[in-house]
Amino acid sequence: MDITTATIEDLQVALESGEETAVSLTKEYLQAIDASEVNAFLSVYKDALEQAEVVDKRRSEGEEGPLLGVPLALKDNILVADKPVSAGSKILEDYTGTYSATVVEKLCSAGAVLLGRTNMDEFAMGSSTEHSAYGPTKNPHDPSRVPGGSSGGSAAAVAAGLAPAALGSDTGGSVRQPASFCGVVGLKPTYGAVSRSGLIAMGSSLDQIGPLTRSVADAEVLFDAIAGADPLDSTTYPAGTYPKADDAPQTIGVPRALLETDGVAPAVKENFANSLDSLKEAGYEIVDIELPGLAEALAMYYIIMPAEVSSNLARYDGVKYGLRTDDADLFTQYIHTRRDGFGPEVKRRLLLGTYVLSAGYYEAYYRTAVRARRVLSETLADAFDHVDAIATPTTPAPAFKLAELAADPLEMYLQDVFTVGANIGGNPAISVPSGRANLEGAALPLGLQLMAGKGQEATLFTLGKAFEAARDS
Amino acid sequence: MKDDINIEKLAELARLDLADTDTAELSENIASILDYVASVEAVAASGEDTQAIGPVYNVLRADVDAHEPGAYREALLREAPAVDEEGFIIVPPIL
Repeated sequence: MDITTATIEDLQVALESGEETAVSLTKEYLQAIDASEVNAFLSVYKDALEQAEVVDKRRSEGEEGPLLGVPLALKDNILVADKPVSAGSKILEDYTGTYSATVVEKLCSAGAVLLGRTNMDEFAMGSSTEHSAYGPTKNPHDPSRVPGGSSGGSAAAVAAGLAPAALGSDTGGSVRQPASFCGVVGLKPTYGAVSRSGLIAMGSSLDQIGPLTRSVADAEVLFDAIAGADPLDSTTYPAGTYPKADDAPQTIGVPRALLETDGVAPAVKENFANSLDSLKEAGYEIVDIELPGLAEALAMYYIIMPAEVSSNLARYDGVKYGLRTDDADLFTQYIHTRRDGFGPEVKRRLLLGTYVLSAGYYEAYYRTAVRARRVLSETLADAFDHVDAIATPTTPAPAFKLAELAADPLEMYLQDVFTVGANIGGNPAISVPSGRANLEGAALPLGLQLMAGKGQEATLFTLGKAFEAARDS
Repeated sequence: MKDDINIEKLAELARLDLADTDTAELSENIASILDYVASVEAVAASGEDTQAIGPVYNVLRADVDAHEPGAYREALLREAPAVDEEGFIIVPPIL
C-alpha cells in the first residue's frame, strides 16, 4: 500500500484485512521521515515501535476502532508525558512533558501510534514556520517555498506522506493556512469543542487544537476522537450546548467585500469562483452576504492575541522550567533568560501586548478590541440564521517563498485575513484543497474555507465531502 | 498616541533585555501594527462592554484537591533548572 497517499480510512482497511500492522505502518512512516528533507519533524518518539506493538496486541485481542493502529504526528506544542516538547522555542529546548495533553490521552486510548513532534513557528506565532528556533520547514510541493504556519510541520508531514494525519493548533489560522499551502484538509473546531489541557498556551481566548488530514472524512474521524468536555479545561462545553441543525445544509454565503481586500491574488479569485461553481453544481445555493466588521477581525486579533501572549508567556522566567541564564540577581536572570530564549517575533508580540495592556492604553486598545469582537461575534451569529456556511478562499495567495515576507511583519500577519474571523467569533472552520495555481513552474495548492455556526462541525463535514466529490468529478 | 512608544519602558515591563536588538526598527514595527489595528474603533462603537464571547463562563470546580497532593511534584521538579536537596527551587537573590 502507498503510505504517502493513504487516508486514515485506507489504513484502517489494510489493518483490518491484515495486509498491514501498526508495526509495519510505523516502520514505513519512520523510514519516510528519516529520508525526508522538508524538516517537518523536530524529533520522532523513541518508543513509536513499542507503541505500535502494544496496539497490534490490542487488535489481536479483539479491539476495533477507526484510529486503532494508525500512526499520527503531533505539533510541538502538545504535551506527551516523558517526551520532549519545545513549542519551537529555545526557551523550552530541553523541556520534557510532565503530563499528557487530554487530546493525547484520547488518541492513545483510541489506539493511535504517536510518531513524533512536528516543527512550528515559535510558540505558534507566525504563518510560515520560519519563526521556529530549529530552522524552517519546506513546502513539499516546492522546497523554495514555505509550508505556511504556524502548524507548518504538521501540514508538510501530511502532504509529504510522513504521516497520514497530524494535530495542529489554530489561534488565527495556524491549522487552515498551512493546510491550504500544502494541499491538505485542516479543521479549526468551535472554541471549547476540544480540550486545550496540555496545549502550550498562546492566545487563550482563541486557541483550538485541530486535525490536518488528507480527506474531510479523516478530519471528522480525528475530530470525533479528540472533542468533548474536559474538567481540565473549563472552556470546553458539554454536549448539547449548541443544538445540531435540523436540516441538511443548503445555503452558502459569500462575503464579497472581503474578497476585494488588497493583496488577494487573481489566481485565488479565479479558483474561488470555480469552487463556488462546483458547490452550485452539487446543488447548494450561493448568496452574497454582508458581514460588517469581518474585515476588521485581523485588527481585533492583533490587539487581543498579543495581550494574551504577553500574559501567557510571563511564565517563562527561568525559575520553574526551561532555559535559565546564570546571573547574580533575579531580575537580571528574568530579562537575560527571556532575551536568550525568545526569538524576534515572540519579543515583538510581547512588547505589543504589554503596550495594549498598559495603563493609559488599555481602554483605547484592549477594551475597544474586546467590544468590537462582541459586535462581530453577534454579526456572525445572525448571519448563520440565514446561511448554513460562509465560504471564502483560505489564504489571499498561494505559498510564498522562504524569506519573502520576512522584512515586514504586517505583511505576514495579512496571511490570516480570511481565517482569523473564525477565531475571533469562536466558530468552526475547515480548509479543503480546491485546486492549484501555476506559479513560476510550480503547481501550488489552494484551499476553500468554509465556516459554520458554533457547534456545527457536522455542517462543515457534509459540505466539505460534497465539495471534494464535486471538485474531483 | 503611538508616537510616545517608550520601548525601554515596555521592555522592562515585559521582562526583556533589548540591548542586542535594533530598537528603532522594533518601534517602527510596533507603530505600524498599532496604526493598522486602530480600525477596531469604528466596529466597537455599537458594542456593549463585555469580555464574554460564548455561553460558557465562570466555570468553577469544587474547592477540593484536584489530585492527590504531590502526585506531580517529582516530574515538575525534574524540569526546574536548580533544585536543592529538600526539593526547593533555587533562585538568585532578589536584591
